[in-house]
Amino acid sequence: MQRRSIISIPWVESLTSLTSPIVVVENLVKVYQKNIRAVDNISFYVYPGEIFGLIGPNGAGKTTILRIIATILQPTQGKVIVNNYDVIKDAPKVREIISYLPEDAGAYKYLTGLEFLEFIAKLYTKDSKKVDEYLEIGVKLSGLGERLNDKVKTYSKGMLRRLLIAKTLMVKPKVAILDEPTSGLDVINAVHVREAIKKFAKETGGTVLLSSHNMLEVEYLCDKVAIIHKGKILAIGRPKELLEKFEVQNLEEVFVKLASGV
Amino acid sequence: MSFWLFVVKELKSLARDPRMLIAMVIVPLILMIVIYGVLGQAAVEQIKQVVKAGYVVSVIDMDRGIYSQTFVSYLKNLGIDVNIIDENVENVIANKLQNVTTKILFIIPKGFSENITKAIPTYIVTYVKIESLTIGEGGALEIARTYISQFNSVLLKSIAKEKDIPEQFVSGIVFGDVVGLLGGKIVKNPDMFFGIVTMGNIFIPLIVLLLVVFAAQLVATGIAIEKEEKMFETLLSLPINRMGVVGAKLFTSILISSIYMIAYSFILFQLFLSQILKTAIPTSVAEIPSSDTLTSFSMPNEFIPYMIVNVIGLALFMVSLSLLLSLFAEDVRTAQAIIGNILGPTVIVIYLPMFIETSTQTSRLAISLVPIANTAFLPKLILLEDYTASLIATVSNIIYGLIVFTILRKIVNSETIFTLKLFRRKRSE
Repeated sequence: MQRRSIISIPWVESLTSLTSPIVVVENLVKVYQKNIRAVDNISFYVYPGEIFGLIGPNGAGKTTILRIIATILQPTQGKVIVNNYDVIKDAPKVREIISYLPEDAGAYKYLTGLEFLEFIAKLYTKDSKKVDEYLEIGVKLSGLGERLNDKVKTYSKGMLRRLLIAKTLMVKPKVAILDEPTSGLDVINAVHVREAIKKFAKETGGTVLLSSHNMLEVEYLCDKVAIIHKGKILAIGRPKELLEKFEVQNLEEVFVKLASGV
Repeated sequence: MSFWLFVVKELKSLARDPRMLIAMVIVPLILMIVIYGVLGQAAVEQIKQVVKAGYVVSVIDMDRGIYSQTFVSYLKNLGIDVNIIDENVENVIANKLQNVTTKILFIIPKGFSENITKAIPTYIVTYVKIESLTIGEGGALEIARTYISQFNSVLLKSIAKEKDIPEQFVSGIVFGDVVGLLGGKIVKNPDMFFGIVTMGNIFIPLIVLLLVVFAAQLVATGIAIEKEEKMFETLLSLPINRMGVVGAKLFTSILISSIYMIAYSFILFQLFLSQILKTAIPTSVAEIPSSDTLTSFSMPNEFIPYMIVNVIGLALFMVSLSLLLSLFAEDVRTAQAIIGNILGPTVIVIYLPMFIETSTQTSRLAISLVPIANTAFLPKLILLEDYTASLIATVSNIIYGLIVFTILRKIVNSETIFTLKLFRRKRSE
């Protein structure tokens, strides 16, 4: 398998020799309306149990990549494999093992939080015991307590996001895909969401693929990050190693250095 | 499995959403009142015309006895212009009533007076010319019957007085045998005939309109709500059959539309038409016994299967089309606006057969190919025994429906469902 990291990090190379990646993205290109190149020939690999972050400014192409992995969009060129399933040919299989949270997601306003979680759980399994198990996890992950019995339309933005994080992670997906999971949230809700993600990865061993333009958040959450700008990957590796490599204090500075070509 | 989950979810959301109260109850109620009002007024005018036409009748008096003269005098006393025809009745019938200028022709048979004198029940044969196939024309049957029944009452009173018997002990003596004449054919059961004509002109188009309006609005709203509530993108990534979700929305919208269709059409229609008859036919002429003529009728056996298949095809076509169009909308308001634009032409198409000359096979075939119009036209096609056009009208909707459904299916199972937007070119991140 050919791997094309723009900047080679030794840790990545050593890890790849141990396990097979659960998400393979190779030479991915996505062109909109015949001439807008949203994703421009990128490749990366995500390994089981990792929290992998795609970071970059608005319009970098992060959401497009996540939508392709989530089988919503189709690549113009390149290969995307999730747990050995091709996202085009085996889209239904891929959907069984992923759980996706779009950046601008909502929930059915006229269902209660609990009804919504139950509805999602039942879409993933027919087994009533598993539904109960998922619900139990969802209730805990959301941290919404009694408010779960209220209709979703009464929720604040933070509460809604917590509910959506819970619905995404409660079904114990092999790969959780989270697009800007803390975008627009206040500190308390953002912390809750980050903790929920960490807890999910730790307790289930599931893989998390997330995007964010909050590079400090990603530094805290992710095992590995890819810095994306104008549809291309500028750098990929562990946050600490990227900081060392570029001799900077945080990932924002890494990005500025790479984007300005310094 | 996801199908029923979505059906339950849809029903729950619909029941809890106050906007749906406006969309499903208030707006349709206003719409129906307006439609019933307009159609009702048109029907009243038609019936008034027929009532007016009923003030001129023709009579062939084969009896030439005292009671046949009494009948003619009775009609004249009512202010009716009576046109006596001296021709041989066989010739008149053979000439398809061409020499008869009035809508109603009474034929008083020989022995009429003799029978009455001997207190033996007798009858007057009534021919009603059927020409325009309008709802008002059916009123002529009632008018003809009314004249005879009122004459019967007057006669009974007179006989009772003459014989010094209480009126209640005297039963009917003059009966009316009413038949229709359409072209050169006798319509032996004109009530059933006009029942079907009424259905074709008003009832079926209204039912179809109700079905189409509700189903189109509901299904378009159902898809738009997914986008407005920002669940659309999530849905596309879930391990479910996308067509199952679409199917659930189609099913729910057709289910609710059917319930509404039955409720609005049967209850309001019955109430409304009984009012039309009461107000349109002057009470000075006679009391109209009931509106049974218009509401309780039987149909030819072949009508039901043709109609069922046609309506299923129409529902599939219209709902798939609405769903397809609603995919362009980003929110409920846009979806409603798009669907609103197709409803205007729908109303026109539904009532198209009322205004188009359908005497030629070519025109009948042409209308039978027009979706929606063919549903309203089907009862007339069956009446006219044009089974080729009936079959085309029945099958064409299914074909249109399947074509749109296939396009819809292709879109739903590709990324186009996500990228399809109305006049919006926005670069995705």
